[in-house]
Amino acid sequence: MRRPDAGFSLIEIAIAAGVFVVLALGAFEAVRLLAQGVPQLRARSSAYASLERLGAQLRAEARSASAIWTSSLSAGTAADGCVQLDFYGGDAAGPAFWSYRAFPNHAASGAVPGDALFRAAGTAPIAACDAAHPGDVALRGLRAAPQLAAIPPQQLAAHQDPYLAVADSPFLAATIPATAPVALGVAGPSGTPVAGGNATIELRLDTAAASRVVDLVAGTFPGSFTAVLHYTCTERCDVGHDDGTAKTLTTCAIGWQTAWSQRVTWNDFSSNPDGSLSAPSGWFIAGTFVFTYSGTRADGGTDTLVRTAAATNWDAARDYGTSPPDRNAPDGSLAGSFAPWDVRSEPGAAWYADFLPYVASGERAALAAEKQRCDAVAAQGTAGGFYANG
Amino acid sequence: MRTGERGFTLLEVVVCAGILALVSAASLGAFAAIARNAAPPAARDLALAAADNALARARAAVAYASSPTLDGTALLANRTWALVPGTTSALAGGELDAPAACGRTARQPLRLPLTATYDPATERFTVVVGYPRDPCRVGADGTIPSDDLATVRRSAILPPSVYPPGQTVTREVAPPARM
Repeated sequence: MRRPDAGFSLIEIAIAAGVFVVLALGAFEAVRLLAQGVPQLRARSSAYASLERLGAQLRAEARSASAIWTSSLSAGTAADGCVQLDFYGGDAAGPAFWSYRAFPNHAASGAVPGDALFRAAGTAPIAACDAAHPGDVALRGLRAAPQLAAIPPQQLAAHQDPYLAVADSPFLAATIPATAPVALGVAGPSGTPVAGGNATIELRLDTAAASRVVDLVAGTFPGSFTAVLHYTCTERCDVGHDDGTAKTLTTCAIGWQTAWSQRVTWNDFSSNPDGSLSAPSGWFIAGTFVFTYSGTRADGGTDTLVRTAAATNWDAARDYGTSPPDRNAPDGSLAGSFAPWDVRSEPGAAWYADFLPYVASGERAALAAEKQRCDAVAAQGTAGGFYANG
Repeated sequence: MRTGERGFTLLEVVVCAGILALVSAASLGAFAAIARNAAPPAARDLALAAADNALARARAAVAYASSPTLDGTALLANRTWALVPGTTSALAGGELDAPAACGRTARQPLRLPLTATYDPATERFTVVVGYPRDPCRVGADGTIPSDDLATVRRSAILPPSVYPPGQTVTREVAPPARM
């Protein structure tokens, strides 16, 4: 035992100093390693953030694109090993094209580094894998060429996760139909029409910082669908086609031309209280309703078209022996009965309204149809346009 | 009892040093955990990317396939829903950058559980993807312990497309009155 007033012995001091030195060295090394790793951590964090930003940017750009497609990998030179992802969008300002391209076979120190992903943009199609085309670096540090895959609609349900190689889309129906490429209405660099909008593009990017897969689908579908308008000829168009001097009908007027009229006394006499006899009588009238259409030609001129419909209340099909003309027809209508007025001086439209109930049954349908056309044209007037059937 | 002028014994110094070492070790562990948490939330980002990708594929499917229920015409008679109603499950993959804090040097594969739910009534499509809170606990094959699972969620209304791209639609219309 040490004495109560004794200090540390040399051996105690030595041991304590040794322990302290070991701890200090350890702490120093730990701090040194931490300090040494900070720039690397910072660079890695920055690279990671760049990849994340690019992924978000690609998704945002896809939403504004009408079509996304991959250019032919045979484009450019074989030494490039080029991979190109193309976007197309169009609005009132005109078409817009932009591409992401990588040239993995290039040296990292070259003018077009092989470990970089470039973005090029223009208002005209961008030539595939043209390393001379100016572009900005969108991402550095690629460890391998970007992998691009186009997934047609009918293969979406069978899609496999690119990392696990197992089906990852059980939420998609297996009956999604194939979709043909949609013409974008623009010509590519070679002059051939550009088509797309019928596939989902899967892009895989591998950098030293991380690996990421981005599925891109165009947000604005080009042309979407083709509408085929089947023109259904209704009473408005079935007036009479004249392709040579086509015109838009704007007005219709109805008139009447009497052909003959005769007052008839029917031999179905009845006795009066004073012993005299009375015979029923009335008018049989025949004539033509005249429908005069007016139309405006493309050159601004006016053309007319006249269509006629014969009308008479003398119904040859009616058996007047059993159904005298002073009474209703067997079907209860007035068709073929006496017209009770000498109304030849009435205006056409009024005469039509008055005379139609008496018109012979065989003529009423044609007459009513023409009147319906006339009314439709008059109702449309100069408005033009279409009537959609639902 | 020690007197006031008495020094520390070697035993006291050693015990003290031991305590100090333990505290230091714990501090280092805490620093490591802090450093790990301060690193980019790569696992969560991966889960978000997987959810976004699932949503993109669903959106594409809906755009390309049309519903037989909206128009009711023969045009759509042979079509079907693009999305499977109800809940389906799958796995999404990913690779996590070598978590040095976990003592690994190679990239860590991840098997992210993905659950998709589609409700035809509301036309809402929801994707939930799981990810590990602590990447160090992920198994070598990428399996995430169930008690370490966190989730991200993506959701969107995806109404069926009546006229998908490339589809020819026939409409019966009346032309303007011409003669």
